[in-house]
Amino acid sequence: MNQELAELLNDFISEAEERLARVEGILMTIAESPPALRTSGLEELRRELHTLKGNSGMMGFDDMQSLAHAMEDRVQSVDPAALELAPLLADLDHFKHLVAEAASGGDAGDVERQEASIRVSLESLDELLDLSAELVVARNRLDLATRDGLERAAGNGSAGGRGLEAWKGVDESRRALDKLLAAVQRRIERLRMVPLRKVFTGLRRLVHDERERAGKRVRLTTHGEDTPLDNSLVELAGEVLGHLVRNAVVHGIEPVEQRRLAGKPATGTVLLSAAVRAHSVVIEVIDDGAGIDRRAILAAAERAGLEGAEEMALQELIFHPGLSSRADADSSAGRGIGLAAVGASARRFGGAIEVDSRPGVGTRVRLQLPLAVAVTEALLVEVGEQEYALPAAAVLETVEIDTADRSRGAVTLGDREIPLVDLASFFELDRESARGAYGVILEAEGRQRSLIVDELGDLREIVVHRVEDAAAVPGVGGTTILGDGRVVLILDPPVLTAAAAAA
Amino acid sequence: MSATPRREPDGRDRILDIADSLAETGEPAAGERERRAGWISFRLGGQSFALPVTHVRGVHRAGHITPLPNSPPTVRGLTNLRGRVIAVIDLATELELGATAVDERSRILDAEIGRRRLGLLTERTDSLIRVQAADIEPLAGDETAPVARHATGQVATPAGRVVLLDPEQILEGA
Repeated sequence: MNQELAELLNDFISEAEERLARVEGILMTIAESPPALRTSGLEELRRELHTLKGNSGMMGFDDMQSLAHAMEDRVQSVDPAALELAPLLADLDHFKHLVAEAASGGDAGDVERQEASIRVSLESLDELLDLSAELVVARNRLDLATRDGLERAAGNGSAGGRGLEAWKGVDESRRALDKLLAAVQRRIERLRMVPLRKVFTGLRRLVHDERERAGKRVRLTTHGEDTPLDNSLVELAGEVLGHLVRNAVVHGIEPVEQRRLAGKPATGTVLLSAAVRAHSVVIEVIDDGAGIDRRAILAAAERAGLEGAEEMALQELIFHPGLSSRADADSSAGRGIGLAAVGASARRFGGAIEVDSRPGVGTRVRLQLPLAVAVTEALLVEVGEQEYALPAAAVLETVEIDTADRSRGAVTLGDREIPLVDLASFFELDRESARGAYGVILEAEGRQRSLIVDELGDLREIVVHRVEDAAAVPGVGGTTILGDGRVVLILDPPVLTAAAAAA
Repeated sequence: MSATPRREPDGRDRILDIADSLAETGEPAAGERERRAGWISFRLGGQSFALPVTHVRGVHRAGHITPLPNSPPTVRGLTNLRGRVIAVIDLATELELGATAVDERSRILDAEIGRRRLGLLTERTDSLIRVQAADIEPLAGDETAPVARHATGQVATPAGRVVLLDPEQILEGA
């Protein structure tokens, strides 16, 4: 196989994999939507299948082409309510298999695939990313200088004619540079980061399969699918979340009859939500099921010969190695067995797992993973001549505040009173308390506070830089570098919203 | 006079590249390295100090330093060293020589001690000096004085006395 063809094949395979993942996502969305809302999903599905058919044909994969054609037929003019998912999912799995075969099968192509890739240490990638961030800073300076030059030359009227021409040339080159730089940055970032969607799609499929098997009614809701995750953590996240989600469906959510008796809606909910919290990605799996039965766990601990189990917190018990990999205890303990291995692998990657459960109400498991590199959206604000970045996910609203608000230490939002927080007193800064005219309403962990700020800046994408010294300061979640090269602290909303209100 | 001072290359915005400096001075043979170790000398509170060049990754002009609240007085804040955010430590505070003012001549040493990256704020950097073990003298005076606690000794150079700092002790303070 010649080089060109091998490259073409590689492109086809990675694109097909992406499209198949998208098809799976769409199918899961359709499965969870009422028939009336399925139309746009079906449209999208048809488009994806059509493209897959075309590409497969072009590459000469007749089996894939006819499979895509068959799938297209299944969704062509079907009544949204009558759509059968099972055969489509079976086709999809078959398709994935064919693509995987094509990826490993092309013998000559395989050799070239190996030769075309090399191992690069994460450290080198980090250095590259740091340097590219510096390039952006230099680019921003060039932007400012060029704009200034253009304005001055234009201001000189006819005398500035030749100068203006020269500046226009600079501006043109600057724009070309800009495009190249953006492309380089995207490539570098992409080398490390993938959206969690990739993991979530697999989980939706898992929920679908498990609930069919268990004969339960379960709805999976997801939030934050665009949250970026370090590429090296994708496998771990898939494994850990798979375990947690399966637990939630199989052991957490009760059978329909039991839910009815408990006065709960017949369909149970599993919520999967992800967000960047300064220097980590936090992924939560929440279910409204039966909760973890502590007595059953204790019984299992006793059978396993675990001493002092009564004294242990639920958290400690569940992740105790003495309770792991005992499949026989699984059914009687309700759930939570076998998590020790999961907890251990999360810790190995610098992550953490927390469990919170209330019998009869539900369970929340929180997985925290480190973000070697994270891009997030933030609102820039100025307090006491210092700039700070606030993670946009935690910003509810910005309001103006007046003397009356300040004297009673709260602002009114709708029918609620939101306590004010003053950064100066929070950080014990040696200056007068803030008299800022604006409040940024932050919400984290169910609490709301209004942070007093002097100036509101703009909303922008920032790269989170983790620094040990900064992470040690309560209220500071990380740092970022602004366009002019200055370091700005990223505040940590959960800590700020737990702060005492400013008097 | 065994320690040979060498002028820092001029150029206002120039990064003193340690690797280049070593190449220019001539890389010592393996056996000689022990005896003639390279030290970077700099000023704090008007006095001369030096750190082993093996702990310094580079020297940068002091740019904007963002204060870090609720941190020890030795921590001046955070700065951007070539795209990396690093804590800036004012050793002068630790040595009880008064806080270092940041101006045109201020330089930050990009130091790596143990596994930690630190930015060490200095009034200015002077030169790369070569020190033979035999020329290291003990510090005169009180052994419990702040400077003595952070030093391994001192050497005489044409430009005057230079106190050799112990990197591990710096880490203790930071």
